[in-house]
Amino acid sequence: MFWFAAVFLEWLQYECCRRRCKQSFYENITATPTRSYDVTSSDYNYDLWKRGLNILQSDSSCSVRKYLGNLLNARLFLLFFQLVVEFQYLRTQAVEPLATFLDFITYEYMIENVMLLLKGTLSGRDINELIAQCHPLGMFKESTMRSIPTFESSPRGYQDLYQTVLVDTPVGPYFSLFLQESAGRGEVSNVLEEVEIEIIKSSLIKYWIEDFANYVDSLGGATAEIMGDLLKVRADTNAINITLNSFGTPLNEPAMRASDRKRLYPALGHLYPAGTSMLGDVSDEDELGRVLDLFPQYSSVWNIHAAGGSDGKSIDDAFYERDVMQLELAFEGQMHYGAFYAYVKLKEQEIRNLVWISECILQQQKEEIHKFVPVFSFNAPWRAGSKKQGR
Amino acid sequence: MNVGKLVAVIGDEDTVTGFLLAGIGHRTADSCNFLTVKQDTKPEVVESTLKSFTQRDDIGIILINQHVANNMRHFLKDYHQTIPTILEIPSKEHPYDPEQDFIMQRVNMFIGGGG
Amino acid sequence: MSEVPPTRMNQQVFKGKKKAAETGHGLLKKKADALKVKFMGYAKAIAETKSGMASDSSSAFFSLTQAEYAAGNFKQKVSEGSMTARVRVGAGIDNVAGVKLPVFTYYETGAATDNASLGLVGGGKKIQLVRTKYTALLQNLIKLASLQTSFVTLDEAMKITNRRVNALENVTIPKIQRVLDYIERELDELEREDFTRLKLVQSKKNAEIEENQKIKDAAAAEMFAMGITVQEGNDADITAAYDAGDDADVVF
Repeated sequence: MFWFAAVFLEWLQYECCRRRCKQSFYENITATPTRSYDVTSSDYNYDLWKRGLNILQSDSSCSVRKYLGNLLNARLFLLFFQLVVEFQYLRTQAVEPLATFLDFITYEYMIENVMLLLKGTLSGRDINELIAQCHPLGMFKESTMRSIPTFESSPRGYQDLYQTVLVDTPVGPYFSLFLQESAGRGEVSNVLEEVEIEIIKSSLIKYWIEDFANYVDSLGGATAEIMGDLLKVRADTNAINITLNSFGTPLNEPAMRASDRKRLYPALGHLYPAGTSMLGDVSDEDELGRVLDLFPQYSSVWNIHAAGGSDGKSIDDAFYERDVMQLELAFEGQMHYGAFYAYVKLKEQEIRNLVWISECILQQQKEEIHKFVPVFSFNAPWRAGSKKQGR
Repeated sequence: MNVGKLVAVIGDEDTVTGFLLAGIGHRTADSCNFLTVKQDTKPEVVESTLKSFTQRDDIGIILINQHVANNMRHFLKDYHQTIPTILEIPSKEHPYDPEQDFIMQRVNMFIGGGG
Repeated sequence: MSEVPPTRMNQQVFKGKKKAAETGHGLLKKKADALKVKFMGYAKAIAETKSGMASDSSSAFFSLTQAEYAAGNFKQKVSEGSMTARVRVGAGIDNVAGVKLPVFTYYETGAATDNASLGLVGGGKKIQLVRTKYTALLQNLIKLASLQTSFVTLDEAMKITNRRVNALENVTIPKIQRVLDYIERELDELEREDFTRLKLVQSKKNAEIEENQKIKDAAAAEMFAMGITVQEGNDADITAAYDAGDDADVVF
């Protein structure tokens, strides 16, 4: 049943092209702020937006800013809505093995949602409010979601919560893996209560990546190759980030490094196993830099960080840039499922960019407004050579 | 054990999140020292929270976004306690306007008129 | 004021009172001036800090935006779960011209950071930046809060002091003054009464003397008519005229 996926993919890619071709049209509307925008159409080229925003900023009266802010919010909402609807449509039409593949994509958001619900439960928040905050792609059975906060905040309650609810969710297996590994620490309740939510989440994400990679591997072909690589990079990014961000937290204490931090590194990726075992021992940025020097594909990212963000780029931006490049390539490829993953991730990046732009306008940060990682931009560093052809 | 007073905050999500990250958050089983004011938060809720904060003796300072304070003028006008102090702060979306700050109004009265 | 008996003693008492009131007035006025100087200082400091606050806070807000870009939506996680304040304010007291001003000081309780590993898989550094930015903003705000409470307290203290100064100036001192005036007036009045009384007594005496003289003159004239010479020399001593020893025997 690959044909369906292929057709859909073609449609997505065609859409994307069509949007890019409308460049001149966008140039016109961004130049005249008073004309009504076509908020429903999606534009991948942010350079245009930047130009339009500059015009608006030269006339940065409050009403214009507000208007533009509202407009961007409307676009943001629509973009998000579009992502969710398109994805869900895709999911309902999909047959195996694509269906499972798409489910795998949602697990990431599901983990996020479960963590949110768990934490919200601890502070006794209203369940409706919590559900409203959940990522729509990560929704699971509403009855299950509603039952999470009904458990008491007692050891017994946590036990029940785990045994009756969490196990039932698609991400249940990751929970049991996590709990098994933490079994040395005693009861479920202790683990859930004492371990920081963020660390639980990182562990679950790690299991998810490993599981996903296994599944992708079993599919074979181009999917295994391209998607496998995407996941490997994802795993490495996580490992590097976890190491870097653990500095200055209890996680960096010598005892914790081996027992806790190392456990968060996914067991795959270009860094695995030699790199991750080295990462397990680093205690500060210099050491981390020395380890990454051994891996050419990451040393460039690291150098951006080590340069201290002189051109305003942080390591996160560097990773995003890398991801976007890889995802774009994956998206434009044919006959493999990685494109769907890339589609979701690129959309995410686009939403992130839009949030960034609208926040910049709102907060009048004119100098900062360009500092995002554009998606399908002709000016992207890796596409600079093909710029002329694109136009 | 409780030496020193708490800093309470009433404001939009960014304000509250930021100050929580700075470490002022204090939540126990039955009380908490911050309130996130969203679009759909009712003014009555804000007012009753503000009132309850002013009546707690473990709070020393109440930070409140100016746009929130603007809806609470009737309360602030008649607020004469020294402690807790109510401090109006800017919010992300609303630039700070000294004209509306009840303390600044008095300050300006003295600087402008008395100086 | 009428209940004060207008005596010399009360006059002394009230003179003392007036002196005390005037000294007090002078001192309070000095205090009010000192407070006013401080007050203006605070007002200026508040105005400055508040305007600085705007840029501080916008950079703090923006750091949060940056962190959100890097770490995804983490905001809702921050406000979940139970937490213990890591930052509190200590309340000290400053003393300006006898007015106690509350002073807040920033201090960390040493409690563990909540959500220390937020942004572990990305953006952790940016979130760290948010923490520092907001902590700096918070420290400024705490300073501002001190200024503001001091401002309000001083304002109140100044009002009270000024009220006292005005009361002394416009009520108490004039009142004492009026009592003093009253006492003086009364005392003068008494003096004048005494004087009049003496005058009256004297004039009565003089009249009596004149009367006597008239009687004497009449008698003398009568005697003269009867051929008796009355010795004029004894005019001053009337009784002497009747002194049997001196007089010649008169036989009726």
